[in-house]
Order: sequence, then C-alpha cells, then structure tokens
Amino acid sequence: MTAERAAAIFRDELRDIQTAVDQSFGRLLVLQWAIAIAIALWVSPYGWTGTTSHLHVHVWAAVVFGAVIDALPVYLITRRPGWWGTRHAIAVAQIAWSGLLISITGGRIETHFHIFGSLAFLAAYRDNRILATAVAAVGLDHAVRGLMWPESVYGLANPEWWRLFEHTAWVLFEAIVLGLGIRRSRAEMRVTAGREAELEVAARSIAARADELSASNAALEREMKSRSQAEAELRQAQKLEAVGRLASGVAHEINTPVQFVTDSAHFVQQAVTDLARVIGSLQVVQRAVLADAPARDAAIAAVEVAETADLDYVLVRAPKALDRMRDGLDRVATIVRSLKVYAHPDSPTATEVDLAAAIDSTLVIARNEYKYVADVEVDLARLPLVRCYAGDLNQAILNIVVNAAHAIDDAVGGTDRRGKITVRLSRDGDHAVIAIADTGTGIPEAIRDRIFDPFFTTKPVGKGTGQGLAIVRSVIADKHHGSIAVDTGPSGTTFTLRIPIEGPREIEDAA
Amino acid sequence: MTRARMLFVDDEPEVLEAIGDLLRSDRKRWDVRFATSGAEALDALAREPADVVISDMRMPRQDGAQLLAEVRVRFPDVIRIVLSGHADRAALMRAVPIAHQFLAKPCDVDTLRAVLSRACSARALLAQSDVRSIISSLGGLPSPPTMYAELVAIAADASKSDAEVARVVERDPAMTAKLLQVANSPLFGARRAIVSPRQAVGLMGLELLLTVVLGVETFGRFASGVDERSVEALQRSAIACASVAREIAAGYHRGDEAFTGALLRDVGKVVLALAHRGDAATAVDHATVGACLLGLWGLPLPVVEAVAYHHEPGRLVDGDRELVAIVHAADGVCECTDIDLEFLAHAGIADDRVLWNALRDGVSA
Repeated sequence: MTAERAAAIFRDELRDIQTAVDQSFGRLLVLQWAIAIAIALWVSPYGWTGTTSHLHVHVWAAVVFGAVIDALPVYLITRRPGWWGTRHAIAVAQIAWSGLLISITGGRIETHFHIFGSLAFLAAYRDNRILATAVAAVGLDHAVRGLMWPESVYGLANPEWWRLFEHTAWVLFEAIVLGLGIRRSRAEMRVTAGREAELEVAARSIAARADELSASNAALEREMKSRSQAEAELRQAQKLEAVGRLASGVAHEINTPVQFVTDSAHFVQQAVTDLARVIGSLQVVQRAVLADAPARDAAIAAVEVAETADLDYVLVRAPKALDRMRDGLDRVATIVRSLKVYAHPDSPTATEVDLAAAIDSTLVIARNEYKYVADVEVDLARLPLVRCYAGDLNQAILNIVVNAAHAIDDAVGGTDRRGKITVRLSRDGDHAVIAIADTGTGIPEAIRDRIFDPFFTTKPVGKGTGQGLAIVRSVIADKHHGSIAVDTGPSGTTFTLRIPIEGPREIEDAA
Repeated sequence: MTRARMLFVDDEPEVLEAIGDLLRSDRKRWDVRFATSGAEALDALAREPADVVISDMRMPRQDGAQLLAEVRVRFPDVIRIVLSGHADRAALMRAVPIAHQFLAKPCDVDTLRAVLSRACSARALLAQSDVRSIISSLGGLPSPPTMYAELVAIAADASKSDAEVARVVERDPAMTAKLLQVANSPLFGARRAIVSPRQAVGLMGLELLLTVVLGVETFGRFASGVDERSVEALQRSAIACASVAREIAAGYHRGDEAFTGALLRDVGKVVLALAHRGDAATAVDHATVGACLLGLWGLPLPVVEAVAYHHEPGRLVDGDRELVAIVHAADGVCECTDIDLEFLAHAGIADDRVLWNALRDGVSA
C-alpha cells in the first residue's frame, strides 16, 4: 500500500523533473542553433582559410544541419514532453550539436567542452540510460567523423589512432561520475517519496478517523436527543397514566358516597311524605280532641296511617339517613378539596407549602389504591411552610404510596391480612423529612441499584411504565436539591425523602 | 305470594344501609339482606338461598368477580348483578362472564328498582321446576358451550387482543366456516370478502362474534342427538331471523342485542328435541326453555327476556319491552306468523309493513 504509493510519488516527481528538463533543452536547442549560425557567420571563415571573410559553406551547414538536428526533439518536446523517447532524442540531438559546433569551429579542442556541458545537463534527467545514449552517440560521432573528416573532430588532418579512445574514455569517465550522482539522487528521491507516502497514508487515516469520530458523534447526539425525547414522552405518559388511574380511583371514591347519598335522599324524601301523611292524620285527631268531638275513629285511622308509613322505622332511620348523607357529602367534599390541593398547578418557581396538608390530600387521592389492602397511619409534625414545587412533590409522594400499596398487595393479596403504610413528616435541622414505610414484600437485593432507573419496572406490561421512582428521584434530587434514602428488607420498605425547608438553591443555580 | 330474596354485597356499610332504607318500602315484595364481604355473602347463601345477588366489584380479599363466579357454580339459577363504582371498560368486560347485568354507581333509584324487578321475573323463569328438570336431564348442562366460555374469558381480559379471539375460533374449522358465512352475508355489508376470523372480529365486533359463536355452538352441540338436517335448518333460520332483527332494530340502536336475541330465540327447540326425542306432547314451550338455558348461561337479561317472550310478548311483566318487541316482530316476519301490533305500539316500535315485507321477501328468496 505505502510502497505502491511511494513508487507512484517517485514516478510522478521524476516525470515532473524530466518534463521540466525537456522544456529547458527545448530552449537550449533553439539557442544553440542561433549560436551555431552566428559562429558560422563570424568565426568559421577565419577558422578555415585565414583572413578573408565571406559566406562559407559552414553557414549553410549550421542553418541546415541545425534545423535537421532540432526538428525531431523540438517536435517531441512540444508534443510529448516527459516521454522517454523525447529525452533520448534530445540526448542524441545535443551530442549532434556538440559535433556540429566542433565541426564549424574547426575541431577546436575547447569546443569539446560542449560535450561535457551537455552530459552534465543531460544528467539533470536523472536517468543513466540517457547518459548511455549520449556516450554512445559521442563514440559513434567521433568514430564516423574521425574516419571521414578527422579535422572536423580533432582539428588535425591526421590524428593519432587512439584519439578516438582518448576522447571516448574521458566522456565515459564523466558519464560514470554523473551516473553515480544520479544513482544517489534517485535513491534520495525514493526515500523522500517513501516518507511522503507514509505521511499521506497517515494523513488519510487521520482524516478517516476524524470522519468516523464526527459521524459517531452525530449519531450519539441523535441517539441522546431521541432518548431524552422518549424519556420526556414517557414521563408525560406516566403523568397521564397516573392521572387516568387516579381519575378512575377518585371516581370510585366519589361514586360510592354519591350512591348512598342519593339512595338516602330518596328514602328521606319518601319519609317526609309519609310523615306529612301521618301528621295530617294526627291533625284530624287533634282537631277532634280540641273540638271535644269523638276522636277514636280518627285515632284508629291515624294508627293505620302510621303503620302504613312504617313510622317506627322512619323515626329511627331518617335521622341516621340524614347523618349518612352529611357524611357522604363530606367525603365527596374532602376528595374534591384534596384534588385541588394535589393538582396544585405547576408553577415555574417554588412556592411555600404546608407539607402536612399536601400529604393528607395525596393520601385521600390515593385511597382507592391502598384501602383494599392496607391501613394508613400518619404522624405529621407541625413544620414551617416549606418552599417547594407542590405539584411535583405530591406526585413523588403519590408514586411511593402507590408502590407501597402494590408491594403490600403482593404480600397480603388474597389473604385475610392487611398491611400498613406509615407516613411521617418531621424536621431535621433545616430539612423537612418525609418517611413513607410499608409492610410489603420489600425490594429484592438484585434490583435495588436499579429502582430509580427510568424504564426499570417489575410490573407487568400495562401496569407500570418504570417511570414512577425515576420521577421521584428527578423531583427530589434534581428539582428540590434533596436526597432519598431507601431502607428495604423482607418485612417492608421505607423511603425517606429529605428536602430543604428554605427551598432549592435557586440563586446558586442561576450563578 | 312469596317475597323475592335479594342479597346485596358491598364493603361500604353506608351503601348497604342506604339501600336497605330505600327498599324498605318494597318490603312486601322483596326480602332484602346484606353482606359486607364475599365470604359473608356465601355464608348467607348457604344458610338461605337468594333469588338475586347484587355485588360491588372491588372489595377487600374476595372481589365481586370472584364472588359471583363462585355463586354461578354453586347457585347457577340465582340472578347475578354487578353494581360497581368502577364503570370503565375493563371492569365491564370482567363482569360480562359472571353477571346477568352490569350497573354503574351511582345508579338512580328507578333504574335499580326496575332492574331488580326484572331480575325477579327472570328468576321466576329460571326457577320453573319443570323447565329446570328438562334442562338438567340433558346432562352436561347448564355449563355454557366451551368455545363461547373461552372467548368470553378472553374478552374479559384487557391484556388479550382480538387476534387471540380469532386464534381460538380458527382452531375449529366448522366454526370458522360458519362464522365466515355469517360475516359475508349482506347483513354486515362487507366491501371485500371476509376470509379470516381476524377480519370477522374487526367487522362484527367482539360482542356480536361471541353471539354467533354461542349460537353455532349451541345448535351444533345437539346435532349428535337429533336429526342433523333439522339442526341445520334451525341454524339457517336463526341466522336469517337474526339479520332481520338487526335491520328492524337499526332505527332503535339495538342492533347487536336484537341480533343475539333473534339468533338464539329457538335454542329451546333443540333442548326439547333432545330431551323428548321429538315428543311434541309437552307442557313447556321452547321459548321458556331457551330463555331459561340462556339465563343459566348468564346472558344479559334483555336477551333472556326477548327469547322468553318472542312468541307471546304480552306475557312480559317487567323488562325491556323494546327488545322483546323487535325480536317478536323479526320472528313474525321470518315465520310468517301474526305480529302483536298492540304490544309493538306499547313498546314504541313502529308498524313498518314496508320494511317487514321487504325483509320477508329477502328471507324467502
């Protein structure tokens, strides 16, 4: 992976260099042509025949051969820069230029330096094969021209036979030196490319990791949002469920007294009618007695009326019926009053509340939940008014009382025994303490850590949403800055709620 | 005339005292007793039987449903009424299998008196010794048919769904076929063919489905004892008459009850056929026998009355005139017999010959 990438980087870089070198050679080749023509114009005549200067055959050679030499490489440079063929053509052309220049300067030994300069320049390709091509071209050029026109190469008509080898050896020597440099340079490039590739891979994996992180972060945020939304919905559902259950319980608590109050009212109404009839018959007797008339028949009739009216029964029962009606109406009134206290409208700030009254009301509201299985004992100390969110606090107390009733039902349901729920309100320094104890089954060891978790429930589907105690914790700990202690065992559970009498520390919160 | 014996059960003594005072004026016809718990009530019944038991639902220890369930087993011919402060659907469904009638607190005095008085009439029906002997001679009775009982129990359980009702029905291919036949009849006006019990529940509603199951099971149950073709004919006629009754009742919002009453109106014929093996010489009519059987099975009182008086509505003393009149009219339409127009007028059911003739044509077609 990294090696491949390194090779690619090396290849690209080399290609960039070689393309750039191609461009440089393009300019050089054209420049050489111009120089060659200029040299041919001014220098050659003297080089060849002494002092006369005229348009020499060399000028034509410079123009024509220069064009021939430049044509292919310049074409390739414009069309295919960076291609391997292009640079080989350039190498051959460059050596040809050396030959041409040497030739038009009359084989000056100094002009041979052009070859060395060209080789050095070609080394910029960092390709040993280019040097090989160049060396071969030099050798071939020397060999051919040395045989055919030795003066154009060596400036001598009869050079020694080894001159060819001497020249070629020097060229080879330089090529070898340059070649070693190229090798080192290529090795360095490879190392750099390798590092670059490693960096790239590292950068890519860092980017990928960053992408992954931001994606999982977004997913987490979504998850948290939907979770908190679901929790809010469930909390609302629990509230509604609690209201629904309460409504049905309260309806029962109200329907029962309404039933017997209505029945009693009918009875009393009938009784009043009957009594009026009895009184009417007695008035007949009264009038007869007052008029000193015989009253016996009227009295007998009155006795009959009284018997029909079931007078003895009515006289005993009617007052009791009236008592019962008053009791029943009191019961309804208490429930309605408690509902009002219990369903204290949610207020954005804490208000001063009589906790004893709040607890009493909540117990009235919850009565239908526990009355079949448990008796309730209350011990409520007189406390100063407590700053709190009454609606939430009442719901917290209700949730615990309902749980207590269920725990007791689990323990005594179906038996003749009854459980007991004890509610105590006391003061501990600057805290109000509400303790709710039941004689139910207790909380199994295994689930004690989880009872306050939202959604945790042991109740069957449809009977509990697992929000009851989660709400208690949220109300007591979060909203009132209070604390909850749970003491549970096989003989029952006690929840102890402590909240500051002065109310939650709102000012500190705001700071 | 002996006084009807009533036993009220409620854990709130005030409720009982108030009812005692209230019904004091009825002391000549009703003997009222009280119990404040299920155990006390069963003791009282064991000492002296009662004709009607009226119980609260929620009570400590044994609740009303448990009490009445036990009463049904130990004293099947006692009329059982629930008077509950919990009037939600769950409480109602729990009461259906064990009570003849459900009353919600607060129940007004007139309604209470009317229900008690009709309970006494129904009790008189159930207590006729000759009818009872015929029914008990069948053996196995008077327990209600098994699938019906199972479905009623499912319906009473709020945690069970319609799908479970459908599953119970599907176990019996014959029942499924019959149910689908009824569901696909023009009566229910299904736009698509009803092909599964699940769809049938959705279309008919649970209560009506229970009725159909009861009808099919009751008729089918005796098929082994009597001529199969006549049972088949009875079943067909029952379904036809039920459809007619539903049509007639549509204007009075009594469709479901009328359907049930008409469907089951001739149940007594099956009982008699089985008991006497076709012997026509009998002192009791099939209407009374059928009503008695349904009463023992705990069907609602209006249905029991409708079955009891579908031939002679004039004999109804206390009860639901409207439903009796509708089922009577439906029976008359289907059997081409005379309809007691005077009773119908009295019951507030219109003399709608046009509709009746159209329905009659539909039946014979």
